[in-house]
Amino acid sequence: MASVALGGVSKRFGDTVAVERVDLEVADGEFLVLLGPSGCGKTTLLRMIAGLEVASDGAILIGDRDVTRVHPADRDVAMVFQSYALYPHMTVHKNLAYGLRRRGMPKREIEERVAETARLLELEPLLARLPAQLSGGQRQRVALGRAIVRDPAVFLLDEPLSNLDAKLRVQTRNELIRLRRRLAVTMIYVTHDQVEAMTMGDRIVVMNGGRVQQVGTPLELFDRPNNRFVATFLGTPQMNEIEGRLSRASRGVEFVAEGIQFELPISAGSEHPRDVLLGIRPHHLWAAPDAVPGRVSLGRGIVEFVEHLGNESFAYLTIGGGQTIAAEVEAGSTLSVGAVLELTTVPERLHFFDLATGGRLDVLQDVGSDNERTPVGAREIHGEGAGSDGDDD
Amino acid sequence: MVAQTSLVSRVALYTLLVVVLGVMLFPFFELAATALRPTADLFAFPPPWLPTRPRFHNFIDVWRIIPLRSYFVNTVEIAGGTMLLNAVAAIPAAYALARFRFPGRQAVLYVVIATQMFAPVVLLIASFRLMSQLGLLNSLWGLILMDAATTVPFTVWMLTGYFAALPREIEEAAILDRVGRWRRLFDLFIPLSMPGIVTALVFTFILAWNEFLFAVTFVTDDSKRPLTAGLYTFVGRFSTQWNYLMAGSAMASIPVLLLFLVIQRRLIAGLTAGAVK
Amino acid sequence: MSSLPTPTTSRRLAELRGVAPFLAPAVVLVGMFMFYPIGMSVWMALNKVDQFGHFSKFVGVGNFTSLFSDGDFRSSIYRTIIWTAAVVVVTTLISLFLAVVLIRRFRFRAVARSLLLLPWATSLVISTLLWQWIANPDFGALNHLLSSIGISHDRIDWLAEPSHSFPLMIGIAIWASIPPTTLMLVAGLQGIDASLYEAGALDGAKGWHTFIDITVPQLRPVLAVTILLNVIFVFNSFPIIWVLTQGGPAGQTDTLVTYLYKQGFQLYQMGSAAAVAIVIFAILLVFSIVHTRLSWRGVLQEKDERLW
Ligand SMILES: Nc1ncnc2c1ncn2[C@@H]1O[C@H](COP(=O)(O)OP(=O)(O)O)[C@@H](O)[C@H]1O
Ligand SMILES: [Mg+2]
Repeated sequence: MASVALGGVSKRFGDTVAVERVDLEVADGEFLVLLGPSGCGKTTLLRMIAGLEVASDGAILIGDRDVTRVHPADRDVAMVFQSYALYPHMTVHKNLAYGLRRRGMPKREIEERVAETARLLELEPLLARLPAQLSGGQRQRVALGRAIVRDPAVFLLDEPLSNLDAKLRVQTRNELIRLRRRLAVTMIYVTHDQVEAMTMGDRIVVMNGGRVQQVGTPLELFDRPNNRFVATFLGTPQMNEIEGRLSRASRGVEFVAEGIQFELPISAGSEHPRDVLLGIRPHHLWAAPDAVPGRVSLGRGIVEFVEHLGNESFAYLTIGGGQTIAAEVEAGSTLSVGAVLELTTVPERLHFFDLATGGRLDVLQDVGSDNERTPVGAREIHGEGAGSDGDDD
Repeated sequence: MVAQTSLVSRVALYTLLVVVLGVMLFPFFELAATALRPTADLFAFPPPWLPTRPRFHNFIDVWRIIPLRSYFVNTVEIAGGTMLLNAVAAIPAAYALARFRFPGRQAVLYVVIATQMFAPVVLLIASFRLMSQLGLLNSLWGLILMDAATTVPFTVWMLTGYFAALPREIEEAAILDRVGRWRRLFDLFIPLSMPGIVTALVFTFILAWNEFLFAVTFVTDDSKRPLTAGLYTFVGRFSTQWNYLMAGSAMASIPVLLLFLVIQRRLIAGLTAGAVK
Repeated sequence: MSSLPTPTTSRRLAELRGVAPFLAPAVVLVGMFMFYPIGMSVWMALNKVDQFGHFSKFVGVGNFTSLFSDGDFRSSIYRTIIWTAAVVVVTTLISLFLAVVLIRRFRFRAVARSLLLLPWATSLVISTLLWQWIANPDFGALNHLLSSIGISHDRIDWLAEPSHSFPLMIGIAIWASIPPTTLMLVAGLQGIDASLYEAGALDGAKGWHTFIDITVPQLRPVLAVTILLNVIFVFNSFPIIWVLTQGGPAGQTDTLVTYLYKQGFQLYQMGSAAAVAIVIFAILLVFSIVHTRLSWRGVLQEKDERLW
């Protein structure tokens, strides 16, 4: 077990910047997920930690040791490749034992470790088979086993579930969570699947365009996305975005967009008025025939269609400006297209982003409490650079 | 209407095919027929198409009349030696070119492609002098070294393609398993590229087996001659006994033909690599 | 935390030291028996050298000037070009036909393709000996065949007259070049995306037009490779001419290759022979540049650097 730290790590391939100035601390025993769309640099970052790619800039520490220029085999890391990369001409047993043999481990100990790993992953009946004779799920387990058997300080996994079918993916995901508890090892796990990230990670690093967008626990990311990219990348259905303008109003601030107007009971900062993007997750926007008292109303919408997901249902409605937004409706409700519903939300669930940069505006930090500092207004956090990256996906 | 024209053209097409193939194969018919002729048939006029009485014993007698045994042994040694030298020289070089990044790599690759075009004849005069200085005239080693040197670039080229095609993650898994470069070559690349390696090496074996220019130039001692040069010198030494020559030629060709059958598919893919996706 | 140093000289040296053992056997072999002879040929070409390899006098470009003033040498160049062009053109045309037929499905297709391996696998020396026997004026099958099918009842002495022997040699070279060419073209044809033909058929392309508009353009890279390989192979071919006529009578069927051989091993003019080698080399270099251009595309080029 070991902690991992990255300082200002970048990777350039010719003119392409695959990873740009990443700072990151992974605690000993932590399960960290690198999440982001395809091509955002996750694999490259992982490969730099493994030592398979040499960082163009920055330093990498494992434990207390600077491993930036250390051979991959001496970093005490194991990697599970997306393609599994099993040795095609070796049996499962040999695949597991090969690395140990090359490390000069005594034969008896190798056998013990292989047997133990095989037991843990239920590979025992498969030990004599070649990779070509295994199913996708079995190959995946062998790839995991090849990493586990080495008992490394850090475990690196690159989209290990992406080649499995949906059912197997869920099953293996749960197995991985169980395994991870048993092994209590530092894991860095790359995925583009937010469900995997949310269910498995102690913390998640959201990446885009080679940069870290935000680091935090799943709930932090969900509740307080740093920028527009993180906000819309996480959560299904995707967060609604409404362009509008925040300005001073009699009882706080007022949000005005085409066909929408509401006030929030907070005091306005000096920077108002300003152009913003309002973000509301469909889960936090309710559509019902009548307004609910105590909630902020966004006005009315006309139902276009309804999506039933079993235990929840979402309606897609056209609002004043002609924009379509998604809102939760009573599960299984039989709404007809064309019905007019009232859209309501609670102020704490609203997100505001700077329209130009995409950075989060903490408009609502004072909701509910009366402000002592004046003027309190929108304070931009993590503005720098984040916005422009957020837009290009 | 349409069906009829296409039937006519099909018949024409296949007739033409049969004619061309007939011309292509006629010499081999003649080879077989001559090899089976009794000596008395040789100078019959007009020459009979088929031997009057096939004499299979020619295939046994020829070993007495031509020193075929020694030719065969020499040829096997030359071709085998060439193949082994190719393996030793080309496999590690191809691995390095396919998998390592080092200064000058592009230049080396360029040279590898360019040298495939250096025909043996260009080397003949100076290498004759070199061989005589090294005392390797009339030595199988001289032929092995020249045959190997002239075939190594092609072998390197073909194997580089094979090695480069192996997924890089498999090699990286081995790097993480603390497997060194030579080990990776022997434990991963060679076993996983066996079909390609066999094809390339067998091809060098065939090329050396069939080589003539160096053989006829560097070797004057009959006991050191390979089959090509030996059979060539048999002509005209006596009033040529063509039936024996053909019997010997047939036997000299059969091993190569069998090897060719085995490797042809991959060989053709290798020859057109880059042009065929 | 410090930032990484950029690749330094010492790092590059380390990389070179790392690959050296892998490249060494090939470099030594090719260096000694290919590059050294080529370099030595250049030096020999500038000197008078006897059959034992002794240098007697530096003559500069003297060997070249006397070569080019030799009418036999000039006609050898001319003949080499005719020889190469005739063989490659006819081979390509016949092979194209064969390849197009051989990718169709028919009974015995596999047999037909395998039979084509026969001439390819057989040593050119043995093939030529065989043809020599076939061309025997009295007892050979060729004259017999010609008279049987009524083309010619003359006793043609194929090898005595250049007007007969040279076309015969061209024929043999074509015969020997067809199999590899055809099989490579078959591979090329099989690589053509079938949907192109379907699209062509929808556009109304038929028969000959399909061939000209779809097949030939798609086949161009493979055609280029086969033509180039054939040019080089035929240009340098030694056994056919040497076995049949040794370039005779009186040098009338010499190509550059047999001319070189005679200069070196019959006239013992090693310097002059080396000069011929340099001329051949210069011509081949042009081809090899073309070849490299064609092959270069296949070279896997990764931009990244690898440390380990
Ligand atoms: N070896 C390489 N050479 C050049 N560009 C590369 C290489 N590896 C990755 N890249 C580029 O770096 C970027 C990040 O790639 P990657 O780390 O594989 O993304 P991800 O794993 O998030 O999908 C991509 O634009 C990719 O094209
Ligand atoms: Mg990836």
